[in-house]
Amino acid sequence: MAIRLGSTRMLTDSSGEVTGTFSYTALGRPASSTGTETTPLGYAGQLTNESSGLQYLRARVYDPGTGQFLSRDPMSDVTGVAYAYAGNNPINGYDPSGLCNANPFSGGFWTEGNCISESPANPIPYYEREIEAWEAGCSYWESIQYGFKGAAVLAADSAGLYGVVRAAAGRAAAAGVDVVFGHGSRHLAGTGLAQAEVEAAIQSQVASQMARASAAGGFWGRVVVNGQTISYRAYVLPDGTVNVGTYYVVP
Amino acid sequence: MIMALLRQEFPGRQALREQVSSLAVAPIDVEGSLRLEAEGPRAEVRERVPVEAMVEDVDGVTIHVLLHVVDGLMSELEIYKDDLKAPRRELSPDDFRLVVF
Repeated sequence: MAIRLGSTRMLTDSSGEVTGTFSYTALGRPASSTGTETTPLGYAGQLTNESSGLQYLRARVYDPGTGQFLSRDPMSDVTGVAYAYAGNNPINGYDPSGLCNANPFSGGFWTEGNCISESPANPIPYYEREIEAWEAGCSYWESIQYGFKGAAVLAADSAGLYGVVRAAAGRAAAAGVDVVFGHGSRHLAGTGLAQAEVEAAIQSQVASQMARASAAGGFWGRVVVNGQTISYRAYVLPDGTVNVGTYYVVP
Repeated sequence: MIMALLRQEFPGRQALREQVSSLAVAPIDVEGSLRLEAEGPRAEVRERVPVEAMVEDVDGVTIHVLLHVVDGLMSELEIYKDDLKAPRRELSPDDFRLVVF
């Protein structure tokens, strides 16, 4: 059972009997618990490592012990907040993506539509972040700031990449393959490659392999993006989802 | 754990062993991956990931432990599970199956 910000506060068995209760500090550190039942979904309903207490929030890892992310917000020049969680207001907000302060009690949280993301002139990294932020529940204004940033760099980067990536992603979607990525993006630091273009290339190749029914269990592959070779590790789950556990540039 | 990865011979292994004493580490994800900052002789490895360990989790899904080397220096100990869930068992180097590249 989860309430307010989505934190797991109670577990019950199939008959409705309470098997565990949990409470948290304002920053999300476990404060107390009862019962023997545990769950990896803790504060704000997010995946929590049992031994370290760290929370995986997709783009970044959060430490509820300090109220800080372990890495800098990649858009801190826009947000003005480098490491703090939920805009230093965790009572009313949370951050499911590591890229925003999502406040379910704000009016903006429920706003529909996103005109900036529909612009074909939006540079890919900012476009992706904008979409991720929106889908993670960020407010309209918080999401759209990424689009504004993208528009600002557009003058220096208009190589038509948008269409390439959209086409690759479209082919994967057409093949009906659900591809999930793990850690790989952090290995692109210093390579000049964008996460979106690399993952689109991998996704396209994985979809192609799956379409030929030649992939099962674990497999490795390589793709070339902008002249650089990327090695990736993939694993096919029983439901057909392909997990790309990691990828990295081959020197 | 890193010394366990370096127990099997591969190009650059000796230089990596000499880097171990200078290592600074920091956690970077909930699976237990570590960012590594090393000093010492540069290792001439053939691949960015010259060695990998694999071990089965309690549910039978494989956990991977990859040593990343950038510019001859250890840069990351990456841990992930094939199903992308967090590992549920303590990683014991005694159970590692090593693959060198």
